[in-house]
Amino acid sequence: MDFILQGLTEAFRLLLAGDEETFSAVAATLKVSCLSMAASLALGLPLGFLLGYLRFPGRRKIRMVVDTLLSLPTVFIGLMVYAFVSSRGPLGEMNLLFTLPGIAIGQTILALPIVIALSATAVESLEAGLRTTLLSLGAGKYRLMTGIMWEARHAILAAALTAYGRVMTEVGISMMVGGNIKWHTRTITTAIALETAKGKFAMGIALGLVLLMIAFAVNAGVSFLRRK
Amino acid sequence: MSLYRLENIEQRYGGKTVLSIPDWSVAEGTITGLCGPNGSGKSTLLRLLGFTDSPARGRIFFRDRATDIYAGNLRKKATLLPQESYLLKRTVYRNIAYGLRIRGEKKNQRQRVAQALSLVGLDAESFAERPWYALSGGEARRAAMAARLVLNPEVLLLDEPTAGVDAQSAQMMKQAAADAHFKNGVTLVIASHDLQWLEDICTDIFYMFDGKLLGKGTRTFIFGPWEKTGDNGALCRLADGQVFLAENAPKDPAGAAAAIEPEELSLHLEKQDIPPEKTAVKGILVRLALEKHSGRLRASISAGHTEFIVYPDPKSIHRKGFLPGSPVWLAYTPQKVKWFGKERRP
Amino acid sequence: MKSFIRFLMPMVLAAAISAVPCLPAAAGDNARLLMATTTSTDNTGLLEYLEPYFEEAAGIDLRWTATGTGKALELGRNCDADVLLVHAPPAEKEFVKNGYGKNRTQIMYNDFVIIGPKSDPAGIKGKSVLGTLSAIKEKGAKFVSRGDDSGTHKKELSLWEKAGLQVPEKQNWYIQTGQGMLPSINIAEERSTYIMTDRGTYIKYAHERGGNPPLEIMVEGDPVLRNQYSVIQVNPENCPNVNAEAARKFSRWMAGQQAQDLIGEFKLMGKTLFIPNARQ
Repeated sequence: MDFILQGLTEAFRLLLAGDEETFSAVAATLKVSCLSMAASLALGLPLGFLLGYLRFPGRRKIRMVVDTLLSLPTVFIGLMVYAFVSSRGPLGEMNLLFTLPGIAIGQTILALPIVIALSATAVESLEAGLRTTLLSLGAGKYRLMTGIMWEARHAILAAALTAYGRVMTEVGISMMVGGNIKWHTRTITTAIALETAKGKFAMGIALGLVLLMIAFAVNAGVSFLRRK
Repeated sequence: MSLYRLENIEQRYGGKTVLSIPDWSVAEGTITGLCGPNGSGKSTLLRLLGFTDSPARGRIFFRDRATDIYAGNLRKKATLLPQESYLLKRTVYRNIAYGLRIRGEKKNQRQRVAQALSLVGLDAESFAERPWYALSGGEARRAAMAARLVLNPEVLLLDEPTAGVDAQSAQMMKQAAADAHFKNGVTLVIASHDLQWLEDICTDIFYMFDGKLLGKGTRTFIFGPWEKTGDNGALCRLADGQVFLAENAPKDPAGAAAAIEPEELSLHLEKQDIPPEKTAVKGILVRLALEKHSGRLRASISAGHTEFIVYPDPKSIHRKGFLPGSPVWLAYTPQKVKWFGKERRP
Repeated sequence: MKSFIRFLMPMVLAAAISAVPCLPAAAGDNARLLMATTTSTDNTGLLEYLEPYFEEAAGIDLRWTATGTGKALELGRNCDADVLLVHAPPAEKEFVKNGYGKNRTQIMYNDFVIIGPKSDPAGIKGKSVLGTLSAIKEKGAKFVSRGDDSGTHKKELSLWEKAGLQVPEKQNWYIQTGQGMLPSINIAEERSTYIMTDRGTYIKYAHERGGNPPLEIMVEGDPVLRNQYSVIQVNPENCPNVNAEAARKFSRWMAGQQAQDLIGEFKLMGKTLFIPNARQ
């Protein structure tokens, strides 16, 4: 199993030597995950807040649906998105197949339930005493919402990180919707799949480590923010 | 003009009525005490008075104006210290300044926060920059109190301010509440199990049971569980095994509460002194105190963990040599026990 | 709230910036050709080897997505690729017959081999393919199948049929992996079974094992083992939006002298892999 060690040294070589192919995959991964995270946070945080804060009939049912969607398999999302963005699909006109925004649509669907469910849980778990406290200190409706979101910031950040982790590491959507096209839609994960199929296990491990390093950098950045 | 007037108020949680007050008012500049067992509706009532919850039914008038929790600046006049003193996840300073920031009062903020901290006995220098998690339970409670005091409210609603905190913090909380009232004229409504404190400080004390106000005044409540005896009698086994008897009991007394007025109780050192028509339980005189607002001498007798309140004649106390610690007989007439029934709701 | 925004802003910004280059540029570019192909052409490195020559000759940006032959044909059917490079002649002919593709052009072939453990439990060494399959079935010797509807899998199924045998399905000696060629060979090695593979992948596998692989070639050279690769243009009558012009150019170029020579010269681990046969 010497390819594990090889993979480790290869990972550093790829990064330090500025390997063009690797950086293209890294860039694709970052672009597409940023796109999908921005979309899923912009949609998911307000929805998660409403789901966690408001009490309305049918809330538990919606909650159950969202929780079920947490287990959406990525290949299934990939297949569904493919069906929509394929030239023959309803969104075929938009030419999204084999593009990064196409992958981002799929990843947004993947991340959205995570962001909604976890931020709803975050809001739910602190609501009881907090609402009364904020109101008793004079908060109005708007202050109440921002106050609650701010109190839940750590859990919401954790929700975002969880979603980010899932988005960065998924391979089913990127493969199905992106097509693993070199220099264009090849992300780190689809590159790993390819290298593995080629039998270049060391290269696959190296790319996996590169992905981990990016994840580490993101987490380090977030934990720096968290201290504030 | 009353400060608060409640009209046909009802509050429900999950389809269950937890508070029902047909008519009640609080006068400006008074201290109102609320006592009663857990779940009797004290916190629910305080949340309504603090305008952090709306009633399911009925209306609340504040200085004769009908209210709505998000309307106007009501919550800037009345502020509630909830039972769970929830500190926001930020420094003590920013916790206390939060209400000021909402009100847009930026002037002298630092000074005002430091002053509020000193009112609850916390040193601004060492506490202001501490994060929310670096406080003990008692300190957190005091910081939460400071966050209300800094707002200079007209009404301060305190929900169990001394429950579950250390003796020093409890003392500070009581001092801060008293200062707010006596120095700044703040109207106080206090829910507490500390009957002694309430009786010392309050203008009026209201008992609550099963979501209802049982009326004003000092009386001893025996919350049961009651067992049926005979046709219309009932008995309650006190914690030490003694039996307290009552007549005119409701049909199903199990969840009901009974009360006896202080005037109906008499104290005796020897068993043979008990008047023959009366029944008695044995207890220990635990406290003799001067009630500040009425000037009366108040005796507290503990019998099986139930504390009975009696206003004995000061002369007889002196003559017979009653002292805290004395074993005493507490005589009463079972027919004089009043019942507060628990309504059976579908 | 401020630092929360500070956390979100870079993400939103990065997303906005990154979205710009890949949105409009992706659409309607005439000088771009999208090919759906099989993993074998990509994994062996053949396409990467050919790509710069084609781009220089035609001025067309060649992109490809490598999947199984089944999915490649499906992509063509759904108008999601301009041209296909696949290796499953019967399915290809069906595809063209149904009007999804046109101008099927033979480009090259390599061959399949049947490999197995040195002990050769079914005694197939040197036999014909049909005799081999009968022997395997008779002895119940373990056999790994791709089972993924790839060109290789389709080929294997056709061989069972040619041998007049019922295609195995649930027999416990018949192991369907549903994975790519190399992962399947690895499974065959771990379990010491027979497996049919394209020669290119076997060469890589043998090279990885230092030239002394546990699985050796048992059957080769039988004419039925030929693995024919063809280029098919996605039919513009079925898919008006495909880049038919570029597809035609690619098809012509692949069948032309330059590409045929290049394919013949392409070597993997020092061994020739594909034999050009556009002229035959």
